[in-house]
Amino acid sequence: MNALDVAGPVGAAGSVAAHLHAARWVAAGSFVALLLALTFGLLRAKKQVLHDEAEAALEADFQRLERELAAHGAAGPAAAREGTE
Amino acid sequence: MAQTMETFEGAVGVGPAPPGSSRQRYDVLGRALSGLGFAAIWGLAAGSGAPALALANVYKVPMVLALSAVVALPAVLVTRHLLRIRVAPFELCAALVTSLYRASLLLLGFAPLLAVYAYTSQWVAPWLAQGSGLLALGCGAVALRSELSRLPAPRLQLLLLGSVAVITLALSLLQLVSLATPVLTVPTVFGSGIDGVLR
Repeated sequence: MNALDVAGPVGAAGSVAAHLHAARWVAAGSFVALLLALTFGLLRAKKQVLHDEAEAALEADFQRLERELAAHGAAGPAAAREGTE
Repeated sequence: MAQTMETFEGAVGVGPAPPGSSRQRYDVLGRALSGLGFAAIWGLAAGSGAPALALANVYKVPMVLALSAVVALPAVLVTRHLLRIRVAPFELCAALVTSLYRASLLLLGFAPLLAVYAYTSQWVAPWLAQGSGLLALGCGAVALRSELSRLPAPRLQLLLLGSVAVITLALSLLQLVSLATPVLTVPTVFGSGIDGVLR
């Protein structure tokens, strides 16, 4: 007789049934934790996306202003001369 | 040609977001949560014959889907490491999440039909539920293969990685379904997990 004979299939089935209840609670806890992590991760990513978009818009505005300023700067002396004449 | 297009897209600032960027992270997390929502709707439809079961399924079916992905993920990452596939773990997770999202989209498509059958037929509804579940699993496997084929790695290694992912996902799904039983109004062969299938 070996250890497997002593445990037997009935013992194994009983063990599985005893652990099933605990396994369900562990699964439920893990799922809730995962759901919370996903939700917080999504919110953080959304915040980062909004931040990146605002930064890109600001950068685009800045470049447009810089181009306008350069254009005015080029036209500026000519306009100033016309004004004095 | 593709490289030229990618360079052009990069220069003009269009096209897909770079891997791991905040936009891509947001998309992947959004897909993960949407997939869980779709699975919850399928669960509601599958158990709509009994109101208590339907309400319990709103939590049980997404739990089975989410935990099966979590259980399968370490095996997938270890396989990636052993096969020396030079792909970022985030990209693998994104492929896995996208395939599960597509599978749950299929479940969402079947949900109204399943709800009608759950109210009107006692015998066909469980078959339809199991059939749509298996079809979603197949659709997920095809979607995973399609997502993995886009990654920059040898095809054979990606095929092996995909096979490992599908097998571990299926095995973990089977046991987690047995943990969440009852999901349908009648007992099925999947209710006892792998012991019930092999018996």
